[in-house]
This record gives sequence, C-alpha cells and structure tokens, in this order.
Amino acid sequence: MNLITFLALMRRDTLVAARDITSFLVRTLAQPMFLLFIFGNVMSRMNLVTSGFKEILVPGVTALTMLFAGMQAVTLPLVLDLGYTKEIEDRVLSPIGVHFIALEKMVMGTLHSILSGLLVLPLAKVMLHGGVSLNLRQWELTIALAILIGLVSSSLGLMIGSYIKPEKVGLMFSLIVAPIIFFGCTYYPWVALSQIPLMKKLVLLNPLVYMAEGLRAAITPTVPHMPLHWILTGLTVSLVLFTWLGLSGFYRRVID
Amino acid sequence: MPPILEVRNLKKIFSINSGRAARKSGGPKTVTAVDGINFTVNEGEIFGLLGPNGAGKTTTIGILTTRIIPTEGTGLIAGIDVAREPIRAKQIIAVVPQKMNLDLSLKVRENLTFHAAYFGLPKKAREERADEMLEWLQLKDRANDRIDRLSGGMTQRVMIARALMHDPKILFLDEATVGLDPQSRLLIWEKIKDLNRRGLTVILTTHHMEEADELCQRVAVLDHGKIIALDTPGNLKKMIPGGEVIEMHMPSNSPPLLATLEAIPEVQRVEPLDGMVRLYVTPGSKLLTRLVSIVEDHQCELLDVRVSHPTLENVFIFLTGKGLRE
Repeated sequence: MNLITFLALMRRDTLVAARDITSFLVRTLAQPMFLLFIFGNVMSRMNLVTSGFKEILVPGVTALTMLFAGMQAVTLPLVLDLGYTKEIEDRVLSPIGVHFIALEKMVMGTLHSILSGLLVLPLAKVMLHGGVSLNLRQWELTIALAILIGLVSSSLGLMIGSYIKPEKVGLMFSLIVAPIIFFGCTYYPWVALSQIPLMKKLVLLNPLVYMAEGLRAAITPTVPHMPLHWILTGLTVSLVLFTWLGLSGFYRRVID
Repeated sequence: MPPILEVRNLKKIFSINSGRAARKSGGPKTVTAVDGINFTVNEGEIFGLLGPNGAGKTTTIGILTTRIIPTEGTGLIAGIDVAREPIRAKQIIAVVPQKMNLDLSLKVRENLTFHAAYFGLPKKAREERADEMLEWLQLKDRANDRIDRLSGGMTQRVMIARALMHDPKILFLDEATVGLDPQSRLLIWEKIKDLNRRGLTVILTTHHMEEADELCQRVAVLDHGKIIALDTPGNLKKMIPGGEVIEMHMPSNSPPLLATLEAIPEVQRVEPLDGMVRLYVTPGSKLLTRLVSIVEDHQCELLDVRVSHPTLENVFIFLTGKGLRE
C-alpha cells in the first residue's frame, strides 16, 4: 500500500466532511434526539415505560446512531462517486491499489461512527428524564466495541454503496434501513425475545443486534444481554462478510 | 528511440448481460470492443486513435490506463505491463477522460493540489505547480471557484491541468475537445502542441478528423475494434486514389450516368452515396465543366459541386465505406 496516497485520500475526505459538518450533525443527531426525547423523556414522564427502560434504550439508540453514521458516511458519497459523474476515477488512477481506496472509505466511516457515538452518549444523559446510569468502567471493552461497531457499519455502507445505483437510494431506505431499525433490538433486549423464539433466531441476521447488545454489555451491564463471545462473533462475521462483498463490489464498479 | 508504449495483440470482450438476463436470453451475450490490435508509440510523439463512436478507442485507452482489464494481449508503458503492475503504470500516465470527472466536492485549485497529493508531491511543490498550471491554462481567476460554476471549455482545461500535476510521461486524451466551442478547441489544441514541444508523449482519441490531422504525427484508424490503417496523416491521405475529391450533390443518379463517369480516364473511383456522387480524380484534371454537361446529358439534377483535397474523413470513408459520424 502507498501510505502517502492513503493519507492524502483521508485528508480529502476529512476536508469534504468538515465542510459538511452541519448536515453531518443534523443527519446524525436529529433521529436519536427525537427517539430519546419521546421514549426516554415523554413516555417516561407518562409512566408508560418502566424505570429500567432507559438503560435498554440508550445503548440501543447509540448503536443505531453509530450504525447509520458509519453507513451513511460511506454509502452516500460512494453512490455519487460511482454514479453518473464517476468522480472517483481520479482517485482510482492514483498510485494505490484499488481496494485501498475502498478501505480508506471504511476508515473514514468508522471515524464518523465513533464520533457520532461520542456525541450521542452525553446527549442521552441530558435528554432523559431522571438521567440514566451508564457504566464507563469497562472502558477497554467499550473502546474495542466502538471500533468494531464502526468497522461493521462502514463495511455495510461500502457493500450497499458499491451495489446500489443512485436511482435506487430511496428503495434502500425502505428495504434495508427500516428492517434493520425495527429488528435490531434497539428498543428491547435480545434476551426478552425468548417469548417469540422464531424472531429471536431471525434477528440474529441483523448486525445491529450485536451492536446494541454489545453496548448493553459494555455500558449498561446490569441489563440482561447476549453473551459477549456471541456478540464478538456476530460482529466479526458481519465485518468479514460485508468487507469482502463490499471490496469485490467496489472493484467491479471501477475496473471493467 | 525505444517505444514508450507497446500494444501487443490487445483484445477486450465485454459480456453485456450475465446472470439471470443471460439465462433468460439463452446464454451470455458478448461484444468484442477491441479485437487484437497492435501498435507502438514513440517517446515524444502525438499519436491519434481515429474512428467512429464504438470503434474501440475508449476501451483501448481504458486498458492502457489500468481501468479495464484486457481479455488478451498486453499493453506496455515504458516496459511496465499495465494489467500486471497497475500501480507502477499509474505513476507515469495521466488521463483526461471523455466525461467530466472532476471532484465536485473540491474547488478548482483543490482538484489540482489533491491530485498531486495522491501522487505524493510535497505541499510546497504541489502549490507551486498548481499556480503554474492555472496560469498556463488561463484559469488563475477561477482558482477558488466551484467546479459546477465552470463552462465546458474551462472544465476541460481543469482536467488537463489536473492530469499534468504529477508530471506524467504519457498523457491520454479521450475525445478531449468533444462538445467544445471552436475557440476553446483551438486553445486546447495549442496547449497540446505546447506540451508536446516540451517532450510529453500524447495519445489522443478523436472522431474529429481535423483534430487528428492538425495534431497527430501518426494516426491509427480504428473500426469495429480493429486497426484498419496506421500511418502519418499525409501518407494515409495518399491512400485515396487520385488525390482530389469531387462531390456532386444530386437528388438521384442513374446507372448509365455512373458508367459514363467511371469511363473518364482521370476518374479513379466513383462512389454513389445518398444524395451525392463522390469522385476520386487525378489532381488538376479540370473536369468540372465536362462533369456538369455529362450530368445534364443524363437528365439528372445537379444541386452543388465541391472540389476538395482528401481529408482523413475521406480516408475513413474510403477504407470502410461509411462516415465517421454515422
């Protein structure tokens, strides 16, 4: 790999992202803000949710935010880059292996994802009625999970961005995004799905499940969660699969 | 001087449907875009690939610039096999593509400086070179503009400036002046000649015969993925029988008229076309008045007569029986 080229590509993406910081913040924080407000504040005041719900909700919403931040940071620019204007061509012609151009996108997506997680946690502290008790003592696990969640999110973004055509972006949201959100154990812990055994098995296909459960294991360990080794296996398998499909899809899009 | 580019038996077959579409239509369909071509380009040369759309020019450039993997054959740039060592090859080539592909998220100057950064130029060097390029291509006052504010001619110049930022040995220009107004086209021609005088090897594709004639030291004529002629523009034009072309525009002609025209000793070849009869004649044969009366004798209507020297377009028509823009 040509490290100088890789760093220059990162510098380019950082500059472009910095110029777009307002829309990044809105895109990243609007959804969790509303979710936290309604589920963790309004409904909590109405006594419609139990007091322990916030500890289930915060890791779920954080995982969801991280997933979308990482995914969108890769998918949205990639769909444009690979689309009609073929803007990526100049970077494809730079002296670096084509796969590294895709990997650079993943690194940027991972950074976006981690940054969004860092923004959401304090937001949750402020927004939730009566606060929430987060355990930050397992910081090594939290950091490792944050990196892994970022990588899985951006690799999923790479896979989607490499396969989807610009005119199909709308379809992507209904077909991919909606099921991921609702079957992602965002608002309920996976263990509680024991009452619906089929769903408990099917949701294992959803990478968000491992992200949400992982963050529960790390920052709200008192909530019943999936065993850690399952979480790590799920995230690793997702990462390998999405990266492999994403890289080969990307290669096919830029090299005939 | 050894050739800087060697193309040996290059072939590219694209499958235009695969998977489910192929099973539906009873097997994959393929298109041979480049069909076993060979040529070499010497250092310091301007070499043209001339042919109509779909002749295989862009695919050839795509292979030589590492974006398309050849089905067979090799392309060697300064001895480097482009398919096997694309990263090394990319360091010494530059491409100005047919379609605008500037980075729309960056400003004009940033397009240049980031390109140079990808190629590892230190900050000071890339800033200086960007200034130099913007000045040379008359873009200095647009340096901080957004790309979508530029005209077609300016966009093309920015792409040329960007391509030159890493000081390539070979510049590939794919239909670099398509869709430009004459003034922009002339400016780009002038810059290409200037670059070549400074020693840069240029390979350009065009379906614009004047462009090939004006710029290229040698031209390969492509049709259906094959090179059908390769020589200097002057020598290619000598392939035309006679050396002078007379075009008689007439709504209709008749076999006896064509037979009479063919019988004239100075007429080397008669080409009946739609609405026109084209004659290839010996230069200085002073045939015009005779031709007019022959047409009148055969009761055909003559709308216009044009005498010209052969162009590369005539060469192409002579070789393939069809025009470049068809």
